[in-house]
Amino acid sequence: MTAALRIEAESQRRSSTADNVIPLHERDYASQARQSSAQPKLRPSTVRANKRATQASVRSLPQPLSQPLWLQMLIYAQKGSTVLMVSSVAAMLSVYGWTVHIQDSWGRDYQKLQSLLQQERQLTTSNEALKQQIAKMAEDPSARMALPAPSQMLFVDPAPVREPQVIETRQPDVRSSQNAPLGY
Amino acid sequence: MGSSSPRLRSTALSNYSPANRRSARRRLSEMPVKRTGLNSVRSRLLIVWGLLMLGLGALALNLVRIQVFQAGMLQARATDQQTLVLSATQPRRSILDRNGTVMAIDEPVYTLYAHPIMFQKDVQEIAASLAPILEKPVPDLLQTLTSGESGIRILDGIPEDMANRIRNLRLDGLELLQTYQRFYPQQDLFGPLLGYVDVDRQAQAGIEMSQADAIERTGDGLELRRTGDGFVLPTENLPEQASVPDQLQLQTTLDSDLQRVAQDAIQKQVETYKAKRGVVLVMDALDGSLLTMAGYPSYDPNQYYKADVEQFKNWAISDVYEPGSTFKPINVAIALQEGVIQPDDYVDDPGHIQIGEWPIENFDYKYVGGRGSISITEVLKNSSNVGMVRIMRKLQPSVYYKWLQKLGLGELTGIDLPFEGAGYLKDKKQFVDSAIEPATAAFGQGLSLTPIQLLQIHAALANGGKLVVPHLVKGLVDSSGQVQWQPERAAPKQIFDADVTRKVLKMMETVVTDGTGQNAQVPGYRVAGKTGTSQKAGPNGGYLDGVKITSFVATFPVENPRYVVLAVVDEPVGADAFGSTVAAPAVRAVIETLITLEKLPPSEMDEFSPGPRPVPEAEATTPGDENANSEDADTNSEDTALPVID
Repeated sequence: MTAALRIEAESQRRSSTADNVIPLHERDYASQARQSSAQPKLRPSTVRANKRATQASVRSLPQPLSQPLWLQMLIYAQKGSTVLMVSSVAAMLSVYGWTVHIQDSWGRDYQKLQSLLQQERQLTTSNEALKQQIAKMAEDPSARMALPAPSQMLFVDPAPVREPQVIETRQPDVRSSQNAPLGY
Repeated sequence: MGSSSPRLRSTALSNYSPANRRSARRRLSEMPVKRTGLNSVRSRLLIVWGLLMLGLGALALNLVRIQVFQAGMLQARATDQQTLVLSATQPRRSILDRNGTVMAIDEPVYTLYAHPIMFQKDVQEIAASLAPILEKPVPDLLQTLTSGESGIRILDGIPEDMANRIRNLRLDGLELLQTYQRFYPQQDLFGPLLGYVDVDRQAQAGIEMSQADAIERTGDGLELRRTGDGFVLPTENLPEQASVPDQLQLQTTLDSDLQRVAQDAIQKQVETYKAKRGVVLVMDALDGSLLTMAGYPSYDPNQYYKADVEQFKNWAISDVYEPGSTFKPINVAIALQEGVIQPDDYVDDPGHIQIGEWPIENFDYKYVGGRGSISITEVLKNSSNVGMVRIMRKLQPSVYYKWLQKLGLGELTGIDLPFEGAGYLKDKKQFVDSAIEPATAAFGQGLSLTPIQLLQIHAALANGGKLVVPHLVKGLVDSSGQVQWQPERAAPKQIFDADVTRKVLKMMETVVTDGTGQNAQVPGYRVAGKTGTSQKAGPNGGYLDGVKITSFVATFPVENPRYVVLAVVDEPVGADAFGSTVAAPAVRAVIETLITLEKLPPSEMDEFSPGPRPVPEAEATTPGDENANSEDADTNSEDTALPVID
């Protein structure tokens, strides 16, 4: 709003004499509306043209108001906290994603563990039942299975430690290979 | 704001032309605000802001209501829905034998409950689809399903595959509750040793009961979260090792193969002599671990409800009997230890003596009469009662009584099975004052003990004089075989000197080589043994007529004693029923199997000559069978396989 009214002030100044500056607070909207409606519509190009026209009297552009120190600090703090917020949101999202992934893989591994335990149990049970079955079959005399008896055991003394034998390598007979035809 | 075109600005300001102001007034007419343009904007803003603030406040209030007042209830509801306690019933640990064979394992079984109030389909249809899976007739099933509204138990003990088929039916209103059931693959091989677990998951006998603390897994089960599709997720406070139930198993010292052979052998003897019951025990004398405790008759713990209640107790540890002649080597050891005799002493054996008003005679007095002056070894070899009385008379009765107490008679051995019975020893005054008491104790009558206690004392003779604690349980082992926990046991007690026990074993060896124990000979191996045939004591004192209990105890190999085998057969029938004929063959079969299992080399390699190849149908006859009709078998020395080597 301030800037827009500033342009109005400029146009006012153009239309009126250079010394005739109407303070803002004293202006009447109605009169201004009449004035601006009577005036040609301003375009950016027109503003620039007007500016060039007033090159003779170079007026410095209005300086940006120097901000007090606490305001500057506050603005810097705001910028810093924005950076912090963005980074912490990114970190939070990644940690959350990692947590979900860990839970998911735990659940998957747990299911796998349960099914493995079940398989192990089933294997053990059927293995033992099979052993029992075979043992029961062995008791039947018609199965012709006999218990191992001490008379069938063989005890062998270990051989005494001997020195390693040296095996001389024979030179291959060169003459016989010469007589043999190639390709056979 | 600086970039807005001046045209817009002028349009905005032209809103306040008189024409526009009228319409604006109309718009603002219902608002109780001042007609000044800026204020009406502000007041509208204020109103909207007020409304929004009200809404926010209401939301905040609701938030407070939910978060603060209803928090507990809502959290509970969410927890109910999301968390599940896995397996409120934990499976019991498996029981293994010393080679890793599984003797007892928990299997998941399911109980099917029906809640007809939640049935979506017709009852007939549900019954028809369930009947083939449950193998029940449809009308019965229909009757069960219509007998109530909810919580009807249809069938329990449903195995896993059947449960999966029921679950795949996807019927509403059916619920499968998981529990565990004990399965014993070896059926009746171990019988009363393992015990059984009843419907309420309470162990009732055997190792299951005595080691229940080690076998049962403690803990309330694992608490986990469940997502909407049933996927499980961990909770925050999951303990470190909780996800995996520890894979510890209870390992025993039993050997399934030896047990099987022993069971067959004792069954055969019991059936041949029409005895009431029989048992074979094998102990490793070095540490007291039991390799075998095979009894006949036995029962299948899978179907414990079909068994005779009498069989639930293990009579090898709970019933006492008078040991008879198997106690004689122990008495000789006591006498040698006290120094009242030397191994090469001689005693006079008239065959028949009178102590007060009681006559005492040898078993073979009627055939052989008195033997005259015989050595201690021959007293044992011929199992002479009178000889033993003469030997033990050299001991003061009070000293003798102290020794009997030192052996542990009248007390428990401390085996890790339940319901152990203590032996019986008369009180000191009665023992010391009466002359007959030490005399009968000299040949093993008048005192009573359990078979396991006799085995324990003979193990002391085998291992150099230490009374070890008999035990079955090795401990809890993990999957790599490392023992993670062991039960506490008392330390062995030294009661005899090692050389005393060696001398007694040498005497016992003659019993097997050319005494009453020749049925237990194993060619090539040195076996020391002693037969026992004793009368059974009646319930009112005195002895029952014609009712015997026969036993045979063997220690082998004599040059390096390791294993002690005891076979006891209760009430065999027949005139030829003695320890040598009834019990010794079973011991021989067990020793032969033990040799092949432990790969024990023969005692004298050069002297070893292989015997006939054993045939499964016929029992190989051994020298001494024909002559072993009575306890006097001293006339068959021509059949000895080995010279006796000192």
